[in-house]
Amino acid sequence: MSQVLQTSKHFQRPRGLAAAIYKNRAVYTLLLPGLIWYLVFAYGPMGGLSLAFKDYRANLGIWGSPWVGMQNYHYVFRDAAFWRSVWRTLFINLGRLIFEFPMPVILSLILNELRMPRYKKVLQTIFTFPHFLSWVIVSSVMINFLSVEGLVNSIVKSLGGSAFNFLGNTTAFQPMLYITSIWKSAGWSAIIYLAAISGIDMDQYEAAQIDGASRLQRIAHITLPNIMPTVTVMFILQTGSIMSAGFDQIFNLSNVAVRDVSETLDMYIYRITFQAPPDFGFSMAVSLFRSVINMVLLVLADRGAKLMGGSGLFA
Amino acid sequence: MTIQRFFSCLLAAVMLTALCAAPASAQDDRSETFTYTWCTPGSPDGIDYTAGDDYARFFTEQFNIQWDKINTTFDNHLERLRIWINSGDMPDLVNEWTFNFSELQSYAEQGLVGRLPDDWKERWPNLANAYARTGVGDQIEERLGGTYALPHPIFADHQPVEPLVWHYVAFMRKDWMEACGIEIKDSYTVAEIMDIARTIKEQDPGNVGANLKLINTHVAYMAYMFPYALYEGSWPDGVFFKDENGQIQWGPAQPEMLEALKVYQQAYREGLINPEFYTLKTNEGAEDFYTTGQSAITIECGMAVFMDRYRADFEQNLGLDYDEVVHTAVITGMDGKYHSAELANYSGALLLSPQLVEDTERFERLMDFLDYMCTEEAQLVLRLGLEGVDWQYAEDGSIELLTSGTVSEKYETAQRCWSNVYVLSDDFGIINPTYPEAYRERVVELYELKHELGTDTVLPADWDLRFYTSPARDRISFVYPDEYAALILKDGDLEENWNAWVEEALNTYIQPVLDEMNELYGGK
Repeated sequence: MSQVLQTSKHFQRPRGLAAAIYKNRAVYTLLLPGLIWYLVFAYGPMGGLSLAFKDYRANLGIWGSPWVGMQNYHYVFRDAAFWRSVWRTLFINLGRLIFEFPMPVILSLILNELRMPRYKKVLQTIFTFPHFLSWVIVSSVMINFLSVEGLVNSIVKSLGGSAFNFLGNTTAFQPMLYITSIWKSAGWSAIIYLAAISGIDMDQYEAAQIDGASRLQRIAHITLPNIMPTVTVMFILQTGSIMSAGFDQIFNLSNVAVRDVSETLDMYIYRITFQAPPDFGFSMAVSLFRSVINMVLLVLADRGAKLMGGSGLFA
Repeated sequence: MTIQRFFSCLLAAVMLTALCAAPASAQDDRSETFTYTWCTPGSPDGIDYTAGDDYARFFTEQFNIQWDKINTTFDNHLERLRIWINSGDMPDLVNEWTFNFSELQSYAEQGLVGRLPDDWKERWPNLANAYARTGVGDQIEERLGGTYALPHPIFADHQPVEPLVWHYVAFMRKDWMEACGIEIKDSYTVAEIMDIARTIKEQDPGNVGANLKLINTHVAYMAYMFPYALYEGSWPDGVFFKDENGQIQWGPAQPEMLEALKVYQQAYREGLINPEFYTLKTNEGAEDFYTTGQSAITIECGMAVFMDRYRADFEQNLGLDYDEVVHTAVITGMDGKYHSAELANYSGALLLSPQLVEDTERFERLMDFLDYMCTEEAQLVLRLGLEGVDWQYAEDGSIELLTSGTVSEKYETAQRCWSNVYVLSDDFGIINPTYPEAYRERVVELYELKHELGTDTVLPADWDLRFYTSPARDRISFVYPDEYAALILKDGDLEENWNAWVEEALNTYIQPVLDEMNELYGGK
């Protein structure tokens, strides 16, 4: 009997859903452009992922090109440079999670503590501005600053030191990535945390103040716990792009002297796609591999956050 | 014959002539304006290449054509081109500067580039003559079964030497060398160049101080100074070659390569090379030579146009007389010989879209235009400017210049666009009177010297190897100058690093290609 009821419910549900959609058609109409955008620009192109298992022929198109099974992966996995690029990408981006990720949070906390609104706005503008510069510009500035004849070395030399080769030093490359990235993006990323902070009930601060809590205690016990869901979501999202972050930056800041520490997976894909006769199947195989790893990491980060009692991305 | 009969015959003849002439007239009818998309790298934006000046109008009005110009940069040209071609959306006409046979073969097989009709050589003879001078047209046609690309001839009528080699030479500060008591010669070994750099470093005759950059150019050109000059098997065109047993070898894995790299690294570690040469973009090293005057030696195209440009730059930026302060010389290996791979007489190619080739009238008009651009008449206007305005024939038939300056200085549309429509400017550059005669003679001298010094050290072109294609070959994505620079810049022992690099390269990419090629061509 219960099975019959469930079955009938099951069949009734779409009708109910359709009725609900019809009833709220005005609202659902507003959803349409977004839905169409996703279908056309996000889900539609996913058909192209099949290229990873095909020998792409432009005249036959994506669907007409012959299937080659795992042949592209056979070549990819045999390439030592590919594996090096995978580990390097993980290594660099794990560093980003450790060094870069906390910076916008810290910056937002500091900005929130400023008591002069005008000064706060000026600082916020200064910190946000670099976000609007392209990596081409930023890297040109950095190269001028850090070259042997650049500003930094001029200061070092004027203080009696000897010039340091920042741009060709493999040890300095990774810190340079983090520093430039923090300079460029921390201000912009802090906006989302500032927005979260602005949503905190002021009564909590007043109550804490009455109880004699210091500013640091208020930050630790009110501000941080309140923005923690936002921090968690941002952390999960960043973990989900751990295999694909920072192509523009690395492409513009790297050179042959630091190639051993700068060829990330994106750079590898660029090299095999644009520095050799194009083989889109091969490039797509690498891209798909990257996306799968990203997805696995995203799900793992989400589950991890939930296991630790936090909120995740998925219900 | 009566008058009536005479007029009847005349009328009949006139009508017959008119009848025969009618199709030809229709064929030559250029009343309709055709617009072509044309993509070239390096052409400045914001210029009307169809009618921006009299120079452009001279050509476009004759053929009633218009350009819908697509200007790319040298950095992104190839990327964009590959995307357009692979998506079946290439412009009507493309100047492609890094001709890759494997790619062309793939495009031809898929019908992504236009195939010229089989009788095109008879119909457009001037174009066909220039095409024939490249020497590779037949090789490509034989492999593809038709004409799918028109390689740009470097030289058409004025090729200085055969076999041809690249024009790159060393540009050196003659005044500094003289001040240091260094002998001025037409060629220097790499060891001599390094000695010159050491001497200039010690004596600093230009009083440049800490900013002195001795050998200064970017990674791609630095290869001409060291690995290419020292070992012919390091040239990208020569990396696959047959040894004395007929077996195909890969140059970068040979012991000579290691020796060349050792010299390259020594020069770097001794501070004879700009310590940050690997960060330099195109021209930046040369700019230090002619703009700030802080460089002793750079590498540049050994063409009269470049010597003339340097002359103007030295005068403008440094107030120096180029002829007094700059010397050009051939760089040779330690044995005093010029090492190189033979350069086929072409650089890049002109590609037509399949849609254009199928559109008969538009295609034929463009081919008429290209054919005309290969004539002497068109070359004179292309290189010198308009007859009667910029130059004229003197009574003795020689060319008399009416205005000073090069055509690029006089007409903005000439810059990196018109001048290389098909035949490259190198050809006319040998006789172009807008460049000082001494420079033109120097260019020929340098070519002849390379020829003389490279009799047994210039690898002849082996088309089977150069045009060999396979999936394994296509997966080799080495940019050789970058690889060589990366090796010498790497920490640790060079020999160990080189061995590791060779081993990985052979195992992953090269050995399968060597096996394939040896099976096909080895021992022959």
